[in-house]
Amino acid sequence: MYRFAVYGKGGIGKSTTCTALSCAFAEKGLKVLQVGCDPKADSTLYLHNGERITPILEVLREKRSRAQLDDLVHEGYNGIMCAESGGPMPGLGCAGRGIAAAFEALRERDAFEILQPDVVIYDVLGDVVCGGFAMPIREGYADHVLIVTSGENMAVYAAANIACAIENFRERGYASLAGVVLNRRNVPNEQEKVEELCGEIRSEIVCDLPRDNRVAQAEESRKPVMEMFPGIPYADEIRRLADYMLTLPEGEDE
Amino acid sequence: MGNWHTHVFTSTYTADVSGVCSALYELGGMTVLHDPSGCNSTYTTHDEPRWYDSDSLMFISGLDEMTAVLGDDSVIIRDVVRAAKDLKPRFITLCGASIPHIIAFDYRGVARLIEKETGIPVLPVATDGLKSYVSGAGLAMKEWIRRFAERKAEKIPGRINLLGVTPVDFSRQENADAMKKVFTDAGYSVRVFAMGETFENLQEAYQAECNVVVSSAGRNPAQYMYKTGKIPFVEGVPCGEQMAERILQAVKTGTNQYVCDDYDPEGKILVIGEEIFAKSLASVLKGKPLYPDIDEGLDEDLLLQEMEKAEMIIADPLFRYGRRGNAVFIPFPHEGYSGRLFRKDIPVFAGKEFDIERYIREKK
Repeated sequence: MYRFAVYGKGGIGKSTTCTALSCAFAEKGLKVLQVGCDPKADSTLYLHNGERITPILEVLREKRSRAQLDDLVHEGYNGIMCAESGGPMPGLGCAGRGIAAAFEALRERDAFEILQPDVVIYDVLGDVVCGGFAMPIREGYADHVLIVTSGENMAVYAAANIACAIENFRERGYASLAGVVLNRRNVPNEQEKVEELCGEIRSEIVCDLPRDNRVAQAEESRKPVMEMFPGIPYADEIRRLADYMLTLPEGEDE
Repeated sequence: MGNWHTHVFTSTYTADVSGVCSALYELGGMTVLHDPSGCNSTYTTHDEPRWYDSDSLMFISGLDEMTAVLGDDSVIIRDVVRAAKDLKPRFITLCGASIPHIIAFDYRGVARLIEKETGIPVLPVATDGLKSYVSGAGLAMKEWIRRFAERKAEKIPGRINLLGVTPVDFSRQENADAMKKVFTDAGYSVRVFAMGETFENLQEAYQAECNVVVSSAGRNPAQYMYKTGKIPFVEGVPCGEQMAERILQAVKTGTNQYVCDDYDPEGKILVIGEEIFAKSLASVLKGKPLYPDIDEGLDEDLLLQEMEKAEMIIADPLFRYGRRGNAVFIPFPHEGYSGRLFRKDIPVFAGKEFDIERYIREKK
């Protein structure tokens, strides 16, 4: 089982990248599980024609321990299995604890053993701000982390912070950094800035996604870009990234 | 279970952390409860009959607000490493109550760091202080087996394990001994997890041809060993000759068996307690078992309705206050429910010699 966590600054295109990757893996005939780890619960939106699936925490609030695995995981475009942790209303509760609770709910229901995905992708909110947001990279979840960034300064700073957290947790047996995804915003010196970041965090650009308005156009149509524009350079680069990810070591569920 | 759960007339079962401490008490480890304090005194003063008679290394981390808010794991790591270097336990168990749970404390990661620094195996048992002892004891036993039992051991014919044996459910060593005797008299060699047993003996757990699950705390390790070692399990407490014989027959089948599931759902004798115990006793009496508040919970109003319908109630004395109607109440103390309050009245209820009919006559 290949297990990846995708981090990056808010709004940088993590969910779009994750969704496109899920589609690319599904095209190869692989069984994919995409888990959104954000209270907004919008990671898998375009795998369900723009319809929101019920987040895990919402199901747990209603059904408590009676919630079944089927209530938590929903099949979307091309058989991709989708789950959203969800979380509290803005300004209330504890979003980090929420993610941890959602993960525990999947684990308690033997989700990985029953669903047997070939690839699991965790799409994680912005930054590793507390223990809950580090859950996806802890032992037993993701094995590899991808950081999505553009050349914008705030995105680069966020990427550096995330890499720092991953490095700090290395001795605990956490996931390791598998590379940086450059999601271009076409800012000046974009390539150089991200290469400089990679030098500092001892990583490399493993994917260079071109700026393409058709990505936004697909989202306007509530479709994955891989479905609507399967032949564009963006889609080819996503497929190349998927190929690279499958060269990384697989993890084993306990 | 509803969104609310109140207790007006009845008490609650002891928490998961007590289950962890109880399950591992005799195995030569050091158990660290990550918590400000409080949970430890509940365990030591109420739930642990061995506390004043035998040593065991039970520690509380003394978690404070700033350490929790800042996620400063270095404090517990430093303290555990220092204590472990002094005391040299055979292994260390890390469990915790609700505050570490809420801040998503990283049990596995911290266990790995402590292990690296001390060279002593560390078991992460991610309790949350919100569930009952059943959950904690089950998680602890499973983790211990995962780490220390020799999974590739060859099966020994006639070897069985008794799983889920802790004082929280069985209180007295005589109960553990009586259960063991049921099987040794029938020619089996027995390992008891974990009362009166050695670390080395339990490392041989995978030599068993069957696991007998005598309390619901034993289910988690039994299912784990079924999955990892294809060892079938039989559920039931040998509380009297009839149940003992049925369990012995079930063990011979080499398949998973639930021998105490033939109780009468409309029975007028209500047995309230830990699930497998309640079902076992109810099977003998053709009564109805109820196992409130063990992990899943049962709303108190439903419990009281059932108590009102019953003609006889066999339960821990603290349930007496929930009795409605004219049911005869037969006290049957349970350490996991009333702690030490009625400890002296806890009977030897395991083994072929136990006769529930006689017990009822004596207690009426």
